[in-house]
Amino acid sequence: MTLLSFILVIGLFSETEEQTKIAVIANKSTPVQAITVKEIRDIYTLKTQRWPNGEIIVLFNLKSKSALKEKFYEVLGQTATQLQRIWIRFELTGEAKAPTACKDEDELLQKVAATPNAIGYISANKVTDAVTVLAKID
Amino acid sequence: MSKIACALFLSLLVLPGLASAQSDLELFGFFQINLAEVHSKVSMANSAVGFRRDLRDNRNSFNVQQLNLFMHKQLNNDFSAWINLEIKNNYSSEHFWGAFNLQEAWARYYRNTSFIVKAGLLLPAFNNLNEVKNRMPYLPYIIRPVVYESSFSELFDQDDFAPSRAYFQLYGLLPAAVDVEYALFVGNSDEDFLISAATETIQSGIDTTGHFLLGGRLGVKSGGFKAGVSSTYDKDEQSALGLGQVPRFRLGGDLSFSWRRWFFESEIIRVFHDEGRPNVSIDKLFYYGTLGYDFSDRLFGYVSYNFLEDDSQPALDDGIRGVSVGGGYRFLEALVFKMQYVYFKIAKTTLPPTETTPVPVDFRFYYHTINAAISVSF
Repeated sequence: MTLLSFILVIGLFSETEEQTKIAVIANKSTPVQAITVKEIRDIYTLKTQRWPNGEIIVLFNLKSKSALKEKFYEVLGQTATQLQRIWIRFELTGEAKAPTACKDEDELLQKVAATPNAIGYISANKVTDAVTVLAKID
Repeated sequence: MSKIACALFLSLLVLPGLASAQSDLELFGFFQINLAEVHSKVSMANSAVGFRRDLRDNRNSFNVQQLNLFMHKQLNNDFSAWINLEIKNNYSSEHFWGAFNLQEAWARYYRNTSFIVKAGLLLPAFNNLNEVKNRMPYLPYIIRPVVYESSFSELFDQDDFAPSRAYFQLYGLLPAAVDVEYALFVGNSDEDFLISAATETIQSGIDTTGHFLLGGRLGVKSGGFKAGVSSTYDKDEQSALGLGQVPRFRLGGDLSFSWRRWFFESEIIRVFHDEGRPNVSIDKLFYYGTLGYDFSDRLFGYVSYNFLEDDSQPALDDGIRGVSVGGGYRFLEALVFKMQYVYFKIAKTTLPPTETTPVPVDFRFYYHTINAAISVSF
């Protein structure tokens, strides 16, 4: 009984830990298997627009405000308005496409899984085999 | 003009068909609708001869200030094409209102972050604002810093301060401890050299000189910080002043940053000419600074200061100063409400005698406007 409780508690802790982690996910076609936080920043601020094989990176973002989205923006070191300014400037000058907004994590997961060269982020506990996990961020 | 407008209109009509046939053709844009309450006053006086004349202009007007249509197509991973059509000031060819302009039409080759080439009609990378001066959803302003505000184009030639067109640009980011931005561009000389009427031998809209505009920008970028220097060299059309083709050198500097909820942008432009005559100057100076604050993800506010001096115009050779206060609220990412109060002033300056005023006059100018606008992206 004590052992079972211990396992359950450990399991709960693991679950909570996975829930709070951000998984940066990519389409299976992407040529990279792992990515650093700096590389994620460069991709989401549109400084890096191509994968190493020259394919154009397709970005996905979450539409609604959420703890996950706020945490991801903190990782990027940008406020929502700063990112919005960067994305609008690039999009309206024809330099790059702003990220496509998805209504929730499930939709984002589906879109990344279905779109070649796509990248996005979801809670680590929502990851499936349909995508490649490039990074997990606490 | 009407033929061109008609052709562009017809091409827009067939675009939906093209878009469905080629799914990667993106058609998007924005418009900004403006309500302006304007009060201005020009005073000219010479107390010695008892001359005084005041001209007042008080009006309010709704206006579709600007509508831009963008067409973008990624031709493959390396090449893309871009078209920007701009419609201004309640455009109507029927009523001869406003203007319909081809602002950009370029193809881009993207080799890597450090080597990007644009060929075609483009807005050159000069300082920070020139490339995005007509992207109203990006800008917090309704009335932009004075050399970028198209509604002031009747007061002075804005192309004299910042180059409005180039035709080839090489640019990119050079990796270093901080990112180094560079751009080199080439274009036509002063727009006044471009002829507007076709003759039997020459087409309209082309540069009639053998000179080019050569320019570039070198800057650094790190996080939210960005700074750079820009310059151009070309020939300025000054036949009206009897100076002919005058060598012109523009020198610009820009500094902008965003820190936490604060944002700041500033620029300086100095325009030097080799007039070839002593005691004649047509040099120019412009600078502005804007400090803003994002009260939330939706609400923002700012204050801005502008100064412009143009030695080629007696009314502006002591400068025009402007202050503006504005703000906005983003109802949606694609819909922004903006408000702005703008005050410009030319303090007392003496104008030389002219045909209409044969004595020197003291000249003063005041202009203030309250604007409300909605900027909609689609």
